[in-house]
Amino acid sequence: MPKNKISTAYEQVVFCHLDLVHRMAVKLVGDAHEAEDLVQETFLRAHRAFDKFELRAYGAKPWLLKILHNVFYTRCGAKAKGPSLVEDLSLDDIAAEMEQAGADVLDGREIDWDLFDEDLKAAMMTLAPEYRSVLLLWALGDLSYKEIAKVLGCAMGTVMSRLFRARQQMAEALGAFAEQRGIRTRSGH
Amino acid sequence: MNCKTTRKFLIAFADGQLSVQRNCEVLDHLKMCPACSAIVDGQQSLRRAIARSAARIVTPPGLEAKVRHAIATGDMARPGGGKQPGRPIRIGRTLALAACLVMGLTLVWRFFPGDSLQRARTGLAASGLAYVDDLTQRVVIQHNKCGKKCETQSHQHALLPEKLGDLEGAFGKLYGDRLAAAAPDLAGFGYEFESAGLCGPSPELTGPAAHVMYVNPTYGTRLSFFSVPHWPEIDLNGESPDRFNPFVHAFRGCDDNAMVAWHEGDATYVICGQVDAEAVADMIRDVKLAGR
Repeated sequence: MPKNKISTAYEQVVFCHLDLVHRMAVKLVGDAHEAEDLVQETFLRAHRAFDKFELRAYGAKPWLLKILHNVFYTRCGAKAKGPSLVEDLSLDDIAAEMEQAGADVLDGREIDWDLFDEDLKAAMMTLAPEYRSVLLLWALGDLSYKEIAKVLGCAMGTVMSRLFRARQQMAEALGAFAEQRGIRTRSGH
Repeated sequence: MNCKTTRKFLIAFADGQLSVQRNCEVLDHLKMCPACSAIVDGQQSLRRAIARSAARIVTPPGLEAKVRHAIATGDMARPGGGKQPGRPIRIGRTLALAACLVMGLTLVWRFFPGDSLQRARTGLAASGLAYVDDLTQRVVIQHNKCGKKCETQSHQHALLPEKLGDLEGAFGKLYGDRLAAAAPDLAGFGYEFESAGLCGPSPELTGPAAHVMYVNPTYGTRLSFFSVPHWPEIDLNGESPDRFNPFVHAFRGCDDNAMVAWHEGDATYVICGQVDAEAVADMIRDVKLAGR
């Protein structure tokens, strides 16, 4: 088959993730045009590497998202395997931090998320790239911690700590928005 | 389970990452604890909100055609017209940082008298890099220097063959029985042989060395495979986590480079790259078992 021809296997296994990759790209870079660029390069690289790809139980999604993230990090100049600043947290560390956070943890039953869409987008863009990407993989990618670790090329403990920190920062930012607007409840609580 | 013990598991529970038994234990607690339930609800609703926000993003109608065109021609169509070829893979920032680090170290050695390792520490601290240990920093610095050479000029040494299969014999010819070099084929893991040199991670400590460079063209990451005469000092650094035993020591160098190392006969093998350490251990497991 000619090198630049899309095979049936590539169509079925990789191309079907176009929508997900596009959504992830838009959320990563926050710009529609840049996201399109990112998507094109991701699928181009995936096609070039497809003959070396081995389909496993979890499909092509983690592999494709790994390519996307590497292209993203290369373009924005951020560390792809970062950060060395955040220590891996154990479950006990997480529990201790939650204990301290106390009332700052968002109660999901009280927030009308549809009113927060713009704030959510804004809060997401304030996160460091490595926190944003782990949050998006968790929320959009429907990946396990282990799969996220494979995509990002880091240990599971790193995934857990980044996810914890990212969610903490999102909760703080969104809590502040909620307070500013006086919007708290959907129905009496 | 009480709140204190349950809290450790709440986030993993909300993410569906617990074992069946642990899941049931947490569920039993949540039935009786509104506070912990609220935390789980909060985490799950945040996730749903991010997913719903993303679901509103519509894939532009022409994007699929652009992707197909890019694959067919190798050129990417930019929105608003114009084409550009696929961008070259660059390591860029890490190498620039490493170059500044080398310059910084040179200045420190020039102006601050004293033991050279202490100078290295000072230079590294001043650079703001996460300090791990001297020897693994040297490995990373050499790895980055050679990676930059691969990108900008050539890392391939004129005296060495350009084919992977011919390398081990060539190293033996150059160093006789003083150095047993390894040049494994990592193509099955996506790493292609790129070049070979005689640059060691710490020549003043280890003497002559062999350096085989691999590159993953999809991800743009590089892997260095150094072979040096027996280098016991490296055991003083890093750790040997159970999952790597009994094969290797595992380290974490600056810029989150993973490193694995082991001793075999008169040689020490050190592998370095921005690759997960477990992945590296998998790659070299066969090499280690082969007694190389």
